[in-house]
Amino acid sequence: MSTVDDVAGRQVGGFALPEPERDTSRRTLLGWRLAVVALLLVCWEVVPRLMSAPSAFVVPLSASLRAGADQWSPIVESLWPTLSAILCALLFAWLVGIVGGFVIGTSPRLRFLLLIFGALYAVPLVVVYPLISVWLGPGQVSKVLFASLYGVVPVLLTTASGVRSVDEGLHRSALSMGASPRQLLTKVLIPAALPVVVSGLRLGGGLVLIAVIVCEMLASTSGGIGTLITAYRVQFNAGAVYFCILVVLAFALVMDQTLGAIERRVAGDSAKTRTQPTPG
Amino acid sequence: MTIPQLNAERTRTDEAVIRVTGIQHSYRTARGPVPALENVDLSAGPKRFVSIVGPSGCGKSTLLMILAGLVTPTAGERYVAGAKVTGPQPDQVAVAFQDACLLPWRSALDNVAFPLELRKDPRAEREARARELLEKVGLAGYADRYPRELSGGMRQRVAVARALIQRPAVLLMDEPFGALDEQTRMDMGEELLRLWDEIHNTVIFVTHNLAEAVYLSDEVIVMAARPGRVVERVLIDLPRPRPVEITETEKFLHLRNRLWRLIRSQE
Ligand SMILES: Nc1ncnc2c1ncn2[C@@H]1O[C@H](COP(=O)(O)OP(=O)(O)O)[C@@H](O)[C@H]1O
Ligand SMILES: [Mg+2]
Repeated sequence: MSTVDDVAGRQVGGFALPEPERDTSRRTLLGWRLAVVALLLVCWEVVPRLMSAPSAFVVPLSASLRAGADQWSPIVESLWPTLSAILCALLFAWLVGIVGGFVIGTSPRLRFLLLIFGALYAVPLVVVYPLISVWLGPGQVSKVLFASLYGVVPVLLTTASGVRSVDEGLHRSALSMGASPRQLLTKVLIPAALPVVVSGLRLGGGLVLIAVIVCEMLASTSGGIGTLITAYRVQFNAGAVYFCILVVLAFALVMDQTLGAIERRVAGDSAKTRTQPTPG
Repeated sequence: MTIPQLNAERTRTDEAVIRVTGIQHSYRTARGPVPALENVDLSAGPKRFVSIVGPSGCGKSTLLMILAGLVTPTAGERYVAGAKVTGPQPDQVAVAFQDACLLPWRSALDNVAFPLELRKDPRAEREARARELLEKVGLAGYADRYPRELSGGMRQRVAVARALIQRPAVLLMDEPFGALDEQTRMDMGEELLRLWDEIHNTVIFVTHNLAEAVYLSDEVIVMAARPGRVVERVLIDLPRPRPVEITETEKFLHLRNRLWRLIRSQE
């Protein structure tokens, strides 16, 4: 039928984006970003010198790096407590959030729990950390527990809403084709909800990182980068404080970029086209 | 009534591939029950093309969902191939919905093969069958396309191919061409008939387009709203195969007008 071919031709034409053009635009974007970062670093170095501000508060980049080198071994020793707490809390928050979100999202009778978790999202959970640290001591366990609590809420909420927003028609047509409850979950619900779920993981990941650092800053005996930041602040070692902040920023960047890449990948997969391969 | 006549009558009802009797249905909502169907009987014999027409909201979709086993009626019974059953019967009954309901992350081929995948057929076999069906619906070159790369009409063909891969004795279609423009709709109707001549199973086809109903069907069930019920069963005794020109014959127009009057008289 000629009309069909015509329509198809137009559609595919509309989708086709010439590859080289995309490539260069991505490259210029990256170039701009690097330029902005370089400019900021230069400002960091130059502005404090020009201002000749008291060195206890504002220090140039080079002084921060020197302080970092001086304090190298305590900083390296603090990496593992922070990193391991983040990883454990991420695992817990993601697992519980995804499973809980799927259970709540698929059963209408549990929907009311969403309201409770939604309210929890608005409460500044930091207030419970002192309690947790009294019950469990200020070590790794209380850190992981608090960060998990902090991170699980957005994962659970987004997963549940992702599952609920799956098209009723997909569900119904899979049922009519004889899908078992298990097949419905693995072949329809999970792939359909995946892009939303991954964006929830990203949100929760950010909160877990914040929570771990905050715990460490609040409790001087818990160890980790946050504790170190507080210690250097008390010692008026501004250079080392800045260096530690850089380390935390690096953590955040690596995590966010990784999840962002996964998110794009998943979103790309669910809308994959022949003329437009997933970038990367 | 003579004995042979009685026998003929009995075999006809016994033969019904799909049948529902005494169907009563209300939707339960927060604002109380919403009555949708009242005392509906419907049966379709083998190799019959049956259309259901009626005003919007008269319960056509509800009835089709009940026939598909996707909605459990408040009261009434459902028989598929003579057996009283509940729930979907993927080996006997397939459904094509108005919005094609394709899985957007799967290619046309993988969408068509999906029912066989659910049945755990070997990959090579299900892909070969899916290709065969895509070819049948005129999409041989589009196996690797994703739903969003296809036009509305093409998506609907994929949905039909996916339903047919189940080799259903009964194919249920809920306004499958309702979202398409008039020209595409006519083309699709013509093609559906050509396809059906080949497969020749039982089709129950919901539409609100009376010309479409007459053109396609052996019989048309006319429904009315408030409460949703069947008011008439009109036999369409037009010869087959039916070229498109048949839509201009006096007989065709007469049948269409009769349906139109039936629906009007219920309002
Ligand atoms: N999920 C539902 N919940 C409540 N009422 C519904 C639902 N689906 C349909 N109805 C009601 O049932 C009646 C029949 O609807 P439907 O079967 O969709 O009619 P049709 O397909 O003929 O337009 C309508 O009054 C409609 O509002
Ligand atoms: Mg409808």
